Amino acid sequence: MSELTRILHDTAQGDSSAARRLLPLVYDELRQLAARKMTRESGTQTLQPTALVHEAWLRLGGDEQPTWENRTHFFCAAAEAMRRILIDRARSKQARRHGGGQQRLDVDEVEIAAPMQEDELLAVNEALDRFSQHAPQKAELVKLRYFAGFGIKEAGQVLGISEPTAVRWWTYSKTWLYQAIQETRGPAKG
Amino acid sequence: MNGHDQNSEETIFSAALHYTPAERAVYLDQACAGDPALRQRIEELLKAQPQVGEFLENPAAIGTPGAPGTIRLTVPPEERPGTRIGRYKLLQKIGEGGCGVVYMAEQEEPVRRRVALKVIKLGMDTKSVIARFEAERQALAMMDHPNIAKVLDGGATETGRPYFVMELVRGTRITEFCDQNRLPTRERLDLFIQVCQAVQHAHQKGIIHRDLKPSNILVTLHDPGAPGVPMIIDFGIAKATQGRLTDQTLFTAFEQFLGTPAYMSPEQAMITALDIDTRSDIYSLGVLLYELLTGRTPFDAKELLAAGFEEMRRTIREKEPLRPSTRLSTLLAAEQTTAASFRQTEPPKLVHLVRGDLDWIVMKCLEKDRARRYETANALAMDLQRHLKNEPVVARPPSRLYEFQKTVRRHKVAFAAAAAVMIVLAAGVLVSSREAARARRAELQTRHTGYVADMDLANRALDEGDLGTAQALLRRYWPRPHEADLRNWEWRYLANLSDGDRHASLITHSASVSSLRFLDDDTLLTAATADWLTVLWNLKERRPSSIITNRDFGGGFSEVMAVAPKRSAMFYRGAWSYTSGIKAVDLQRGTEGDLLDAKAAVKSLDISLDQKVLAVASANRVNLWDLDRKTWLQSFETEASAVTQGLFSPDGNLLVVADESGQVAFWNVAEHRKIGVFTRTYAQDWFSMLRFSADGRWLVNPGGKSPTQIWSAEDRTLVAELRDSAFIERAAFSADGRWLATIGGDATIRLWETAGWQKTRTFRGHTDLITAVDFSPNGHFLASGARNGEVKVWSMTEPPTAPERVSFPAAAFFQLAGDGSGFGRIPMPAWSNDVASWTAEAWTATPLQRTFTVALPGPPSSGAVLGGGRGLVLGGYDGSIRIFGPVVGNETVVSNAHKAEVYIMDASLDGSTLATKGMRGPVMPEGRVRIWRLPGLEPIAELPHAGNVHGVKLSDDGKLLAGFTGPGDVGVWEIPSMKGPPMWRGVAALQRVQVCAFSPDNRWLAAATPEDGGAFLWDLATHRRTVLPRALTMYNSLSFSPDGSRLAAGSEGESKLFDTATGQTVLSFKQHGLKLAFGRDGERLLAVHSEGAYVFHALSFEKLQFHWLKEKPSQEAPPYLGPDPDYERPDRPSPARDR
Repeated sequence: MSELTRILHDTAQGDSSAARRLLPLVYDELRQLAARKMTRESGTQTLQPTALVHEAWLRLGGDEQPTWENRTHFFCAAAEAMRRILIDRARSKQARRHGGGQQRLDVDEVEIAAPMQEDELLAVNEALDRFSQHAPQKAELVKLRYFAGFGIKEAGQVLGISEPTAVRWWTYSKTWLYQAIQETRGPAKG
Repeated sequence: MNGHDQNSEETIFSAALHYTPAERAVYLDQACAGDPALRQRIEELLKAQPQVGEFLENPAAIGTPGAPGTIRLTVPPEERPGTRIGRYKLLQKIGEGGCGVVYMAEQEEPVRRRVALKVIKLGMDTKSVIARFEAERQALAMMDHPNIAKVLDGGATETGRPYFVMELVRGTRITEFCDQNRLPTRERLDLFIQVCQAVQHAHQKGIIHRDLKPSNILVTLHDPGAPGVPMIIDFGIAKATQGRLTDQTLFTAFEQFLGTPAYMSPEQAMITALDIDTRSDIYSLGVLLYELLTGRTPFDAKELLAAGFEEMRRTIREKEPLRPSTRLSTLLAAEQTTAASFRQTEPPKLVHLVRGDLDWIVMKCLEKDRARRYETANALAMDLQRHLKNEPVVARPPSRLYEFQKTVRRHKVAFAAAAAVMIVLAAGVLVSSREAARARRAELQTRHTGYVADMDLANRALDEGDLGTAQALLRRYWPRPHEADLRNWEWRYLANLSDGDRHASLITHSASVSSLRFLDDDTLLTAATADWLTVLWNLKERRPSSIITNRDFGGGFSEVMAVAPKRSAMFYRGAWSYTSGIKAVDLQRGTEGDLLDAKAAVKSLDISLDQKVLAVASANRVNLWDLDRKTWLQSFETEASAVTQGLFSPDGNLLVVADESGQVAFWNVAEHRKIGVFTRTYAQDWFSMLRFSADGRWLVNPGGKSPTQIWSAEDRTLVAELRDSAFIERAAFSADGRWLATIGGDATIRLWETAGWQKTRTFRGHTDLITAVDFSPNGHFLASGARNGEVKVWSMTEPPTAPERVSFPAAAFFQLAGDGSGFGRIPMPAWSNDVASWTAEAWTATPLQRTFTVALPGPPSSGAVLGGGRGLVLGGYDGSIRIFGPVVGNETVVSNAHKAEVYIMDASLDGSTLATKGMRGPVMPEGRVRIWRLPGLEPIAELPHAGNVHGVKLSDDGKLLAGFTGPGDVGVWEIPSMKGPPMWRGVAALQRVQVCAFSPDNRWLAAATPEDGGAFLWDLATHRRTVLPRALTMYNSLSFSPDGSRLAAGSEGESKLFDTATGQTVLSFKQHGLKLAFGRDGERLLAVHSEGAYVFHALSFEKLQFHWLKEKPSQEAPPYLGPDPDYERPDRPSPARDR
């Protein structure tokens, strides 16, 4: 029995600490996968989060794990792990950009394409924290879609909801997050 | 926002989305009854919902930079001090930017020096970065300016990242330097002018920086107290690291969007930034000047970034920045004081100093329309110098019309914003018609850009003989309903070429065409190697009249070698390795006769003039077979080696026997007497079949890779050797003996004129190697067959589609008629006993032929040509003017038109007017230009005070005269009232204008200054000036298309076609264009240089065939004939079948 299977088993038994133990396992695996891919493929192709997550799932034992519910746990943990990896990268990049510890760079020195997405990523992350207090299940849907790259149908399956519901949730969550981000940005933008 | 049950919030929101706005209010009244906070919350969400768009739809990812929705993993740089990159050792990191990391490095070989080494960040296509750098390397090496840091080297690191090595500059950014040293405005301008001059130098070498900004302009102090020296770094690096969109990567989305938003020109902010030119740098210089004057950039970089990507691009493209003085006065008081103190002055004085000239100079650089910016960095520098000297500046406050246009543009932004709000409110129901118009314009612009690029690609495809690709590209612009027709001269020119030469396709065989014979003018016999089909074509009806299967020889190859139309028979041989026989086939019935056993492999067959005797070459002899009596007649043996061919002379009196040793023996058949021998110098191979010309004068010996030889049949001497880049396998003479067609090496047929044995035409249209060729007896058609089985019939009577060409010995002088209908040339004189005899020739363009030649008393000093090559006007060193026409002796001479040498001359296209200028003595020019009425040469007017006029050009109608004076000046006067100043005057550049052209309607004037390769276009009505791209190293000639929409410009090595409205290059010719002129029918362009002339044809739409434009094959398309369904394996010979 792999460690993953054991943890998943524990989760299914209602061990609340099991979910917390699941995350670092998935996180480390995903990080290693991403780093290996990056060095091997040196930026020649995009690493799709979906692919990463599924690869991590397979590496950690795959469908050996018994039930749907365990899969749900795993993928939600993977989505959360992906979120942390991406946010860490974005933060460190932004910190470098804003002079955190390293040589200061001017705004006009920074290329345009990437920071936009980093900013978006961090803003989404922040709003998502609030959203998960407001609507935790729907926040899981966002993590699966945005950070783990799942399709709407797949994400619905993981969460055990029908496709139309997933679509409805998704529209609502996007709007909620968009509006929340706009609200915080509003005054600064003038 | 919290406190509500999220489920009810979601449920109400989702439900509300399904209602119309009006229904929504009612629904929400019900659903949120008693809960105003929930109602407000839902309304916020509903309002935000339409804007959500693609938000969150692209998953965050790790990977490729620039791809949508991706985040890059930051890989720590692997280089660090001490690392070696190539022959450089990194010493310390001295900077880091968006583009890469800069190190101070030490070079040890070949000289020991410190350099700056910039490692470009990961994620770029290293190969293409380096390729682009290599492409520009030579140009970069030519830059030598004290204010430009030289780029020394470039390459790839071991980890595959591109790097560049530059002269090491230790300095401070120009903006910081100015502020730190509290430089007053005047000194800032001095520094800035040096920067402009450096940029000008680079532009003259053809290098555009593309990324000018303070961090790339460093100021160094050589000595304390000495003025700072600005150094521009990174020249050529932006170009190398940015994808060049014009070439292969045409419609790939824009890749790395480097650049700095605050310094980026509007055209760089376009997604389809196809043609960044020097004026983009001018824009960036304007931003720098703005910042040096005010301490701010026109648009704030942070705001640009914060607004989002699309909005940022739109701002740069559309929003008018505040004038520098206005910007200063809108700063907060504290900021104003800081800005002023950095410039050692007080705020009101600073605003006053900047207002006016400096405002206009800056704003001229920042024009959205680059045609309105300064043309050159030098012009900008000079205007600043004028300002410093209190002279009037070129930059002007805008006119009212201009202000109005700007208002419209400003409102367009406001309107767009308003429209956006409306769309949100009305949920996309309402679309503004103005918005739609704008979208249409933008669409048109995009299409036009695509059009220009596609024409270039089509042109390249045609260069490579790839007609299919060119046709596909051209087909894109066939206008659909409600679509603007972008096609112009270049499209017709390329379409004409894509059509190939005029031909009909008779696609038939499923194997290589081995034989082609015209039986008469309307009947063509074709046969292929491996499909065993012989087809008789009725050319009038373009359909086969008879199809014959020859399968008796079974094994692989069979070749029809002789045809006897009178006997209605053809003779073919089997493959050498299988049989040794000859078969006759009845052309009417397709029945085969008996096998004639030649006892050995048959090398060739030929039929006598009376079609009674067959010459069969095999082993070491040629045997004659009597077809009527079915008996062997004589035998003609070779000396020693195997025979390769036996053929009758056209009159049937001689038999030529060739062997593998290269000996070609001539036999008198009747007397069985060898009358002579010659030895082939080159090819004696099997492929090299000799062929007689119809009159029996010449024998052609295809040379393969070696020269093809023409032998005289009469005395067996070598007449000519034809050298060609292509392999020549077969050749055929036309019946009239005028042409020799050669084939074999490629998909073209080359035609040689036997008069001078020059290759003068090439037929393009096949897509595979050509294997057979024959002329029709009347000489109107040429048939060709190719390896892919295609058979084509070409018209010999229609003009060629490829540029027509004549070559001649170098001329001393040549001149072109303004309508491209003809030209005149003065060949180099013939010398005898130290006396030169001079002649002049007049030529017409279509066809390219000489109309007359006249003897001249001496060398002419200037000349002009009348339309159609009707006549020549020549000026003499003695001050005379002579008009020559085709009738010899009928000349008009004015012997004392000028006191001495007539050194300037131009004739109007309509032949009505002549302008001349002469010398007063050996050194001094006259002070006037004289205008004459043609053809009588009556003086009608004079342009007085024209001492400094060094060139003239008459408009087509002879009503306007352009005179080139001083540096860069062009003046236009009306004829004959030429007193006083010119009615129009323009300044082109600092260099002397040398060539000039009026558009036929006198609306446009184009002028060029060959020395610095600049060309300008004025709209004489509005005075709007367009600068043409430096697409040519020199502009030696200019000519407008009849409707003025295109301008052709030529130089020694190449010629280009520009879109008059936009200044874009729409076509490039590889041919010389020292003198160019458009034909007034809009169909041709004539280009003449010292040793030749070309005519480029752009047939009118009516004349173009467009057979390839038709989606489906037409009804007349010939049937596809092979392979035969009854086909049986050839290696199992089946009994002959009657058909």
